[in-house]
Amino acid sequence: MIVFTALTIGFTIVFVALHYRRTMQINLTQKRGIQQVVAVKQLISYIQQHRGLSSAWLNGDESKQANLTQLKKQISLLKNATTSQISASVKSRWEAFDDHWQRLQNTQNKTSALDNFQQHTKLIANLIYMLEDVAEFHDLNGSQLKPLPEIGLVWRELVLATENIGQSRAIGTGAATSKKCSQVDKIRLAYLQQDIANTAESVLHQLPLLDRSSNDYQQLTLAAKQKVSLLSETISNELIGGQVVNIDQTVYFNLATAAMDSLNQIFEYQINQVKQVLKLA
Amino acid sequence: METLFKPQFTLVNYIGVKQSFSLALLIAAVAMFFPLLNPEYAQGNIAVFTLFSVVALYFIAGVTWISLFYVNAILDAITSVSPERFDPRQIKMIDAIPHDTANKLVAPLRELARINDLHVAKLKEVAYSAGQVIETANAVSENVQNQSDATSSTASAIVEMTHSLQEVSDKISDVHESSRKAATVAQDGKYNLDALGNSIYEVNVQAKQTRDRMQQLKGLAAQVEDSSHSIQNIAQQTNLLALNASIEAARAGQFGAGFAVVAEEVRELASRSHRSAEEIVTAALSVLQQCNDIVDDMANVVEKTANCSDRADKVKKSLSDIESATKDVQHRMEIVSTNAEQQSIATNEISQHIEQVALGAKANADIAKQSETVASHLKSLTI
Repeated sequence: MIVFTALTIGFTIVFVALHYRRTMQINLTQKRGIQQVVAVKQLISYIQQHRGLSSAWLNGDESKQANLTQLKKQISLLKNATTSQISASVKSRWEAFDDHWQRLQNTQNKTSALDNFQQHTKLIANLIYMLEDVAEFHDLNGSQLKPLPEIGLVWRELVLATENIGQSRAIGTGAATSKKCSQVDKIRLAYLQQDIANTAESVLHQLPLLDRSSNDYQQLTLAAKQKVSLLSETISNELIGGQVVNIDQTVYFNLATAAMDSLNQIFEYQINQVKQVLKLA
Repeated sequence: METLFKPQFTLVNYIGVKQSFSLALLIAAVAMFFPLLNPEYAQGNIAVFTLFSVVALYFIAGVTWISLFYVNAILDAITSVSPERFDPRQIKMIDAIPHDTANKLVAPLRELARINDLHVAKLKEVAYSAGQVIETANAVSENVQNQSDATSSTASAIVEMTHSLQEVSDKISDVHESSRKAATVAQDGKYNLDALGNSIYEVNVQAKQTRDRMQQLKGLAAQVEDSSHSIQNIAQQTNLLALNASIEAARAGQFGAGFAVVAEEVRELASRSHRSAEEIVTAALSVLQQCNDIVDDMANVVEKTANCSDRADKVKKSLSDIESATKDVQHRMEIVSTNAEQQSIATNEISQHIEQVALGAKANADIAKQSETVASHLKSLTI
């Protein structure tokens, strides 16, 4: 009987130990994941800024040279700091990004504005996929973050919506500068505008929320909806609908940037929620 | 079965499949090998080890069943994903499944979903672009219709202009013939006018000669007048001498021999008077001759003048013919002018139509350029 009791106690201890180890492993994975997600999101924001600045520089705005140099330093610092954190599961994407970024920098002076835009957009798309992969591989999904069942929308739809606004900012600013919106630009803008409007209508309402009565979040959502709707209407009326583009490029750029910032604030809010769940905040 | 193995589920959920399986194997191993190592103790505690063995078998059977259950659960989860909106996040994995395994399983599906999303997005863009292409095609169709209308109008105008040009050509031929006639008539007129000039010149010469001769005649007439005065004086002297002679003859009688001298003188004077009279006759004859010449000259002048008149009549007729021909030319030119005006209107219409065609062509070129960029964009979407 003593043996039986001893074995039972032993098995129970092993069970508890295994459970604790498993829980700790998941928690550690999630903490590493959230760090990487934040870093990759910051990288995406930097590349989006770099896309806009380099586009302006390629269109003859030499004043952006200093900003570009500064931004490249920031990207380089963040990239170097993140390289050591990146998990093996997304290593291939990270290496692809690193290689693409190096090539993009080397060909910066030789490329056209259109090619520059397309290359940056591909680079950002890869980073967005990587952000989602990082989140999924680090158990930052609805299955593991039970209080935030729709957190997947943050890693994909919300980031994509921000990127869509970024693309419409780049295309629209170019059109507002040249006072001419080509047919292809209109097609791209119409597609982006549909997606942006959809984000304002549906995605923002579906995002997970720990405290449904949070006044801060409601204000953030309301502000984002207003800014995104205003941008969407501006794209429809000023760029797609009219024969001539009348809107000032700075006005349009600021509208789009404000919409992007409002979505980025929601992203930060969601990150803080995840940190609360992981007891990091 | 789920109820039977519920404790197993709980165990798996808490420590994972691999760990549960290892723990079950460990319990089974203890249950099986401990009696072999210590048979005496085992014989005294058969019930305990039997219980252990049952528990171990229960764990092994449970873990095995749960493994099979998870395989089915994974298959169900994967097959339950909506094919219309293929999203791997819809796959609800059971917590107990090792996360690495679940992630490795879902990762390719996620990549496929991204490719699917990319294709859906591209299809949306293609659909929108196709709409734009259709609009563009409609615009081209409208422009082509306008161009077709303008071309039909242009063709009608060209037919009108061709007819008008034929008329103009005919009229121009007539005008050319009339002009040729007018030139011939004008040439005749010029010839006649030259002849008239010559005749008038001759008349002028004759008139000058007549004037000179009249001057001469006047001089001769003066001489005749002087001679007449001389004869008059001589006659008066002769008359006086004769008177004196008659007086002396009456006084002297015999001594009137002297009167013979006087008579001689008188005769001499008479002789001189006779010669003067002859000179007068001669001068008068000369005057007569000159007058005759003048008459002849004047006859010539009359004849030349008559010729001049004839020539003038001919010139007048020629000029009249020229006037008539010119009027004819003028009339025909008026017709030509009218036709030219009609041609001008037709040309303006053609010009406007051609301008419309050109505008349509430019619009089509712009649209074609847009279509080209849209087509390039569509092509880029399919790469």
